[in-house]
This record gives sequence, structure tokens and C-alpha cells, in this order.
Amino acid sequence: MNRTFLLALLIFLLLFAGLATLHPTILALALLLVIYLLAGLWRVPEQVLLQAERSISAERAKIGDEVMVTLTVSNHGSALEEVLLEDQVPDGLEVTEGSACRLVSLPAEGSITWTYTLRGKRGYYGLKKVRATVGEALGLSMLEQDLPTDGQLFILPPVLRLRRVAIQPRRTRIFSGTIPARQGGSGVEFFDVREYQPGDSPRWINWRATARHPQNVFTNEFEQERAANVGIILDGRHRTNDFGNRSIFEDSILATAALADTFLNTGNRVGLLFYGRQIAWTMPGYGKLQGERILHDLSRFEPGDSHSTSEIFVPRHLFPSRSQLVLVSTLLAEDYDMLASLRLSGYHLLVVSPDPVSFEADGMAQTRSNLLARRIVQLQRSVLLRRLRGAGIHVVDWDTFQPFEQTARLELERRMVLPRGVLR
Amino acid sequence: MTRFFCFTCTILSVGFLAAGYLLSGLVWPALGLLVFGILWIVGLALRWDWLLPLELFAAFGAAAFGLVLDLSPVLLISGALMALISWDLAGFSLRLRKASAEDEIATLEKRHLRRLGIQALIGGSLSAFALTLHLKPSFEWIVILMFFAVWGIGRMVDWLLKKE
Repeated sequence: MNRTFLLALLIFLLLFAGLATLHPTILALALLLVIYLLAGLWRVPEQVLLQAERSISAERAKIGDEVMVTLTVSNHGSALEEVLLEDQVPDGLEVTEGSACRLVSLPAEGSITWTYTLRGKRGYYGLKKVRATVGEALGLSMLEQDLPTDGQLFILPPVLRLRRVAIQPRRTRIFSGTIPARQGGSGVEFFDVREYQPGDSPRWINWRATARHPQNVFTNEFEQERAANVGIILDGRHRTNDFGNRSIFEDSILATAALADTFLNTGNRVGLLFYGRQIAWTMPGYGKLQGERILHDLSRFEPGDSHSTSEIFVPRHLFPSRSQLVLVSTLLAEDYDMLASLRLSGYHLLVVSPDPVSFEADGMAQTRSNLLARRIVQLQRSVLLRRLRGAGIHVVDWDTFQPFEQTARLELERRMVLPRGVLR
Repeated sequence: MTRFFCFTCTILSVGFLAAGYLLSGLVWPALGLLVFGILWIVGLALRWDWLLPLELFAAFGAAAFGLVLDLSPVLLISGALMALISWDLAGFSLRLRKASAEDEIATLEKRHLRRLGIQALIGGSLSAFALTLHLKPSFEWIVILMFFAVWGIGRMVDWLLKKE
């Protein structure tokens, strides 16, 4: 209850009681409260003109890094006896050293500067205001003001360095890169043998084939290596990520960041599509700047459901058929049709699937029924993964209790060997 | 320091009020006040903030009721004054909880206690002075004065609330 209102109510009650009982001593009792109220009234600040400035030691930090926030609040109005300054620290950030609150008195034209450190979970945090609660010493009149400040903080996911991710989309871009382009030319890997043409290096001459057919000279042709379009799709659906109060989404983020970084480092054009609480699209691009863009976007994403998450939307004008798509998802049985149709459209698909079964089972009691249930679900998942592999999709089953680098080294560095009868 | 004074004032308040009743032979109300005092102290110790307004109302109610019964006005008004100080200090310690270790809490406390002391002295003196007055105004005058008092206080409270 508001303190002023409470006092006023008590004063009125005493006045009426005094009048009703004709006891002047009760009025003397009310006098105590009236004097208290007047004392508060006398010291109410006339003008509140506060200004806040913020500086942050880093606008982007990794998970676990500490960021120093320095705040300066200046008083351009009359002297303030009691000011409570509370920096509005968003959920997800924690103060590790110092305090985000100060209770001070500020003289006219005075200021206060203080520093504290923050640490937080992956995310984007806007540090936009400082709440000032100004009052006189008795705390009867409290005025709240939000002082605007500039400040934002990105807590970025960690980026694992992968040596290589072997992909081989049918269509590549004209720029040189590291993706085998299925075309003869200059490169490293042997591709074909053709007749010698003027300008060919003598070192490329295939002497064995030339000896077999003396009327012609043959040269080796190498497979061209070019950059490719890579579209990474991150599945943020609630159903595929959240298991009770635990979420596998952070592992998906980790894998996505590592994959995006690796593709960009090898000169590819990478775009990112996220579908979860919202559908977000990071326009494809090259280089370090694109890496930063993707990391910033990854720091914002949260799992959840939107109305249009039933199927993946792939903007085909950005990723023409036969380009490379990488899906990071724990997968549901009903995703098979969507993935198969993408494959039929000519996309090359790589699915990195954090294993939700072992993740969920880790938090459950090892009862007989749970073990049986785990086995059944594991079998269903194995069947799904086998069907996907049968459709020519490269599937990486990642047990999240193993480091992603280890799984990537085993399953992503070499080209996928497609089952017999499956077309590239 | 604030909490120490807060507890001291609470004990004094309950003591004065209970003594006011006890000296007039009203044992059961005095015992009731002591029980209320224990509850008040427990509330302060456990930081039951919601209890603070109720305690202020109860202390002033007990003092007013005692005055209606013509019990010792000095003890009852002193008890009410201590209750007011205790209520104020409890609110102040609530605000101090948000202070950081870097804040000059001791300075803030000293300033607050000084101001509260002056205010209590003035309030107590005026109340004591009011007790010595023996005016016999007519009922009409009392009503008119009361009307002005209510109107004046109403305006003041309205202004304070608007200021917030």
C-alpha cells in the first residue's frame, strides 16, 4: 500500500474518531501523523532531471566471458536526498561483480559513476534503461523514472573449428573454392584423360595412355574446385528441441555455428534459415562479415512454435536446385517426406541430427520400462535415418555427449558413399 | 543501525501502550498488546513487509481506543509515536536492502535518523502541547475546523500522490 495513502487514511480515521467521540486527545494523536506527512511534503524534490550514460567493455562476448558495464548518472535538477538507481538487467544475464543498483543522494549538478560486471547465456540483450526512484528521506513521495541509455550485448555461441566438411553439390558457383565441381580443369584430384591441347602443361601428359595410343598424346584432367551455395537450415521447433525442462537446442546452435564457420572459411556462399519461434532468414553471403551476421542471428534464436513451422520453406531463387542444403535437426518421423521431396528437387542434403533419444534418456531414471521405451524410440530413429540415407541424404547422427568435432571428423570429412542404386 | 533502532522503537511502542492499559488495571488488553508486540517483532525479524501497515494501524488504533477510555495520554501518545518511528525505519531498511556494498549506507542512515528524530521531536512536542490545551469550542466550530483539516490534508495527499 502506498505510504502516503496509508498515512492519510489513518489521519482521516483519527479525525473522524475524535469528532465522533468528542475526544480532543485523539486529535493530538493525529497531529503526530500530520507532522510526519508535512515533513515529507517539505522535502519533496522540486525538479527531477536525471541523465544516464552507459559504456560496455564489449558489445559481443562469448558464453562465460565477463563484460564490464559502466554507468554514469548525472543530476541536472535540484538536489535529491535519496535516489535508487537500478540498471534493468535483462533475464539471462547475471551480475558477477559489483551491483546493478545504487542507493545514493545526488546534489544539484552532481553525478555518480559505478561499474559492475555481467555474464550471461547465449542471446541478444538490449540494455536500454536505468530506473531511477527518487524520493525524500521519509520515502513518502517516490517518483519513478526510466532513464534511456544506449547499450546492447550479444552473447555469441562458441564456434568450433572443423577441419573440413565434405560436400559435393551438383551445382557450384563460378568462383574457385574447395568443392569438387564435377568439371575438368585445373585442380588437385584426378578427373579424366583427354587429348593433349596446345597450352597444356607437359607435366600433365599421361605417358601411359600416350604409349598405348602412339598416334595421340593424352593429358590428365583434374577436377575443378569451386565455391558453392550452402543453405543451412536450423530446426528450432519446440517438439524437436525441448524435452521437459531440458533443451537440446544449444547443441544444435553449436553445430550450426561450427558448420557455418567451416563453409565460410572455405569460400562458400552461406545463408541461414531458422524456423522455430519465428522464421528468420540470414541472406546468403561470403566471408567474415557473413560469419558475424550468422553468429549475431544465432545468438538471438530461441526454440518455439510458430504457425508456419509445419514444413521448411526454402527460398529457391536464393538456393537454386542442385545446391547444398544442410539441415540441423533432431528429426521427426514426418520430416521424411519433406526431406525426400527436397532431395527429389535436386538439392544435395546433409542432415546433422543431434540424437534426442540419448539426450532425453540421460535425464530419466533407468527403470526397465524406460530402458524398453528408449530402445523402441532408438529403433524408430534408426529406421528413419536409414530411410533418409536410402534416399541419398547424408545423415550424421550426433550423440551430443560426444564432442561435435569428434563426430564431424569421423563423419563429415570424407565424402558420403551413397548406397547402391542411389543417384548423386 | 536502522534495524536496531527499529526493534528498539517497536519494543518501546508496545511497552508504552501496554503500560498505559496496565496502569489502569486493564490486564487482558495489555496482554493482548504484548502478544501483538511479539508478532510485530517476529514480523520485523522475518521481514514480513505486508505486516507493517497493519502494525501501524493496530498501534494507533490501540492508542486511540485507550484515549477514548481516558487512559494515560502521555503513555499512549508516546507508544503511537514510537510505532510511527518503527514503521518509518522498517520502510527505510526495506529501501536500504537494495543498496550495494559501495553505497554510503552509514551516511544515509545518519541523515535519515537525524531527520526522523527532529520530526518526532516536533510531532511529540506539538501533541504534548495540544494535550495541555483545554479549549471548549462549540460543536459547530469543531465541525468547521474538522472540515478544513480534512480538506487541507486531502489536498496535501492529493498533491503528493500526483507528484508520484
